[in-house]
Amino acid sequence: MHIFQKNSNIFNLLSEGISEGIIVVNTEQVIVATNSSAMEMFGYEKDELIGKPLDILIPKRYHHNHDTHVEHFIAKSGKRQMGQGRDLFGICKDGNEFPVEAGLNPFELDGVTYVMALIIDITERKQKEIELSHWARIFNESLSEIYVFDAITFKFINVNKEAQRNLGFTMEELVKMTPVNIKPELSQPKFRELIQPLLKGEMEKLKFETVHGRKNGSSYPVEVHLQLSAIGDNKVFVAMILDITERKNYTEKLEKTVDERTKQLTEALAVEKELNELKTRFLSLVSHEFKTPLSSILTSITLLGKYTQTEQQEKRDKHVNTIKKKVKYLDTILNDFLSVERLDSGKVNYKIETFALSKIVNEVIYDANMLLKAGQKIQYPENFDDIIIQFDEKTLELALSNLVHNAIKYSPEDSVIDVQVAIEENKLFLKIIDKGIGIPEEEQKHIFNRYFRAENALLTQGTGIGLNIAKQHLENLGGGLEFSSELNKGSIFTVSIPLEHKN
Amino acid sequence: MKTILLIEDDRALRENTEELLELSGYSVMTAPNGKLGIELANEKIPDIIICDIMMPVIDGFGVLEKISNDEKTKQIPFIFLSAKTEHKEIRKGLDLGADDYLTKPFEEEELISAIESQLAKVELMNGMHNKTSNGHDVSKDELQTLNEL
Repeated sequence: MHIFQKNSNIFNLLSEGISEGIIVVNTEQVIVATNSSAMEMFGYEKDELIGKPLDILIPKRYHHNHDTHVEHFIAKSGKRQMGQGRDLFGICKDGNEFPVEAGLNPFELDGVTYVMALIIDITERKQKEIELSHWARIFNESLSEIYVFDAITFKFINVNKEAQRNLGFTMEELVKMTPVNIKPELSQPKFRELIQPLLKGEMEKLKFETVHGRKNGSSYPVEVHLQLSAIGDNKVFVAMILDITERKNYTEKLEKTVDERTKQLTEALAVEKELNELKTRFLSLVSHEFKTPLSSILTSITLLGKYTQTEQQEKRDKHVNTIKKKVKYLDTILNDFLSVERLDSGKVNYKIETFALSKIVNEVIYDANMLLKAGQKIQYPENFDDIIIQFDEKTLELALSNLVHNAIKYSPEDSVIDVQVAIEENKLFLKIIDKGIGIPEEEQKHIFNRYFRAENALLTQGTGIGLNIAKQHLENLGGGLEFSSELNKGSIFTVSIPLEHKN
Repeated sequence: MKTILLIEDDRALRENTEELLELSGYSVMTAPNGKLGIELANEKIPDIIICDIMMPVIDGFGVLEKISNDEKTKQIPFIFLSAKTEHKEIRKGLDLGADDYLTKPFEEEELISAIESQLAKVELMNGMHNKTSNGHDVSKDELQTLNEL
């Protein structure tokens, strides 16, 4: 040790000027000299380490390893860097460990072999490395696609794994490509124009949506976030790309759902509107269509009260009849309205029964006779008692009574209403023929529309629903309702009913 | 005996009303639509007209227009008898110049009293007309009665 003291001036001069720690050991691995940087690094006072074994500066877990290393090293007697390819640690006086890099330098002095270790505290460098590798991992493992490309040539410099995976190109392929090669919707000039604001510094960030083309020819929608950056002095662009296929799909799905819901709402609104209209019409009908028959009933009752004599029985009968007739009429209108409500709400219950056609026809005509105008007559066949049909009785009655009542209503006094029955090709046809006002040709196409009243019928009482519901009910059961009409000549309405009822 | 022209398209109501009015001592003629009603009014000059509104051929408003534009018939009191009961419809009827507006269904008394008031008003006006042509002034009382009608 005195050797170093002897040469201490030179040693000190050399060693104190450098920031690396210097530790000199002999072949027994005992520390024989240190510099102040080493003292500072390991937290010891001046000369405190002299005469101490080197192990004091090495974490215990490395002791055995270290010995063999050093022995081996001394045996080989070469100058070399330690810690290349593996991590070396030093330990301070207070027990704190820190990463080091060491260079070993054997030398002889006065025939004795020493090893001088140059120690660098690499705590900060390690920290930076960790940080860098952390960022590199983030870059590489990000589920966003990240592209780095040259700001002048546009050639890709780095492309992360996710981008390579999604595109199907390898890095080797990508370095020969530019963003324009994977953006089929953008041309080179267009792309250049797009990124100008970034190059000129007018914008910090650029965000746009486009499409990426894969190697296999398929494509996907993307959202691009582009920023100018630098590698050293070279300007580069960093692009973060989000595959927005899902988002697009979701948006499309959402739009579709919105469309569907809007349609449903519109339909519901239309139904609501229709119901409202029905309500309005019903209220106005109550005022128009109910009040006249109610007046007849009321006046008949008033008159009935006046005829107290037995010999006035004929007059009494007449008024009782009027009351019956008008009640029946009101009932028909009410049924029509209820029928509309049932048709609209889908609550129609048809009951298919087997019955004689004559039963319904006779009932309808019997009731209609009470409504006839002066001199009107209903003519109908007598010989169809043998026609048996399978149908919903109520529907047939509703259709027939509506048609016969219309014929009466729209025909003049002293006219004949003809009811005809025919069978053709498995179908039963019922014709109701009148010599009435007819339907104007230009309005014939609307005649089955609900609430529609032809121009020439506006001043006649009516709700405009009879034909509409009759046709709907008949068609629901496989039947039909057709007509032909000539203005001021009359109309023919034809009901058809299938003779073999299916379902 | 006063003559009433009844224009109503509903047969039962027409016949019943006719019957009621006859039992009350009026002479009644009837028409089933506006056109025939106007013809009858022109031909027979009734003392009062009772008319429905919703009728085929010519409706009640059309009848009133025709009647009040004709020198021969314009002084005849005109009463609507209608199923239209909304305020604005009644207003329309009266604005067109009807003397009264009855809504269906109606009571016998309502109808009779409406007819009697109109006939009394005509009576009064005729009396006034006679008086004024005789050189007398219309009295305050008479004016009051007229206004109350």
